[in-house]
Amino acid sequence: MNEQHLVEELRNQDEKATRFFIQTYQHDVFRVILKIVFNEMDAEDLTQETFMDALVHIRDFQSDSSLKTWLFRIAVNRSLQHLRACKRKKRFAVLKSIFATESEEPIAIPDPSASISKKIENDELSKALQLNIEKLPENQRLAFSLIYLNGHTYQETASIMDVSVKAIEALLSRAKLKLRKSLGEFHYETT
Amino acid sequence: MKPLNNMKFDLITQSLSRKLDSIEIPDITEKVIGARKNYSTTIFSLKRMTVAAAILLSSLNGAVLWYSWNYSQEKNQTELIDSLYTTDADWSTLLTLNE
Repeated sequence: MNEQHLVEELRNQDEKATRFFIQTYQHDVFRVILKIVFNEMDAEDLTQETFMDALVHIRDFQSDSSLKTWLFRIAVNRSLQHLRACKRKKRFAVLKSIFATESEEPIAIPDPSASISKKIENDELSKALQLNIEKLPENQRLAFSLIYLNGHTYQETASIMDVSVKAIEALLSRAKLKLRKSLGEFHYETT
Repeated sequence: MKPLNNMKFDLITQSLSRKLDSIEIPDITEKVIGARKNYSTTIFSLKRMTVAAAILLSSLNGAVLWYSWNYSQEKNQTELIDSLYTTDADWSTLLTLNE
């Protein structure tokens, strides 16, 4: 099924085409989201939301980019919204714990990296890298994740993030330097 | 503090990427198809409810217009009759008309 035909069928809400569309792209979308949010459960929910968004707004899809890039753009935006919501929750929890009376239990905020961290706890440097990626500014985190962890090209990343290739190069170089510095500190402290 | 060298950094990045790749991917096809159907049904119901509400509102609007037009007609007639019975000039007109 070629892309144009698939888009037409999706616009007609054809179930067979919808099934084909999800099965073709769900693995890639899940991987992209997982490597941004670092949490399996959240990645699964966000993948579903991404496909729902894509199916509901398929009429807005214009052929200036490929369907896959468009889908990744939705996935990246969804992931960013999720990260921002997590940040807000954390800030709110801190405020609440400051003003909480003694009888009130502070809210336990689940660590978004907990589930995956468990799986990689044997490799301290990988864990440190993941934690430091989480500390990067949004755009640097996205650029690093898409290029280094997902293996996208600069051109693809620029298209997904809707910025120029030059901007991607700058973001990536800043992210890499920050990560190398923080990992250097970690590495030389532990050895 | 010295930054980590490029080669080691690349190795760690690849290791993290591989570990994330080893995570089993859930099949979400049925969940999304189910959610899409629910969404379509909800939107269809909402559209039907909007049309029903629009018809109801326009009927209500028509009824209010009809009532206010009737009321104003009745009011005009009452005011005309009242004015005929209350002023002297009108009494004389009526009497003249009677004769």
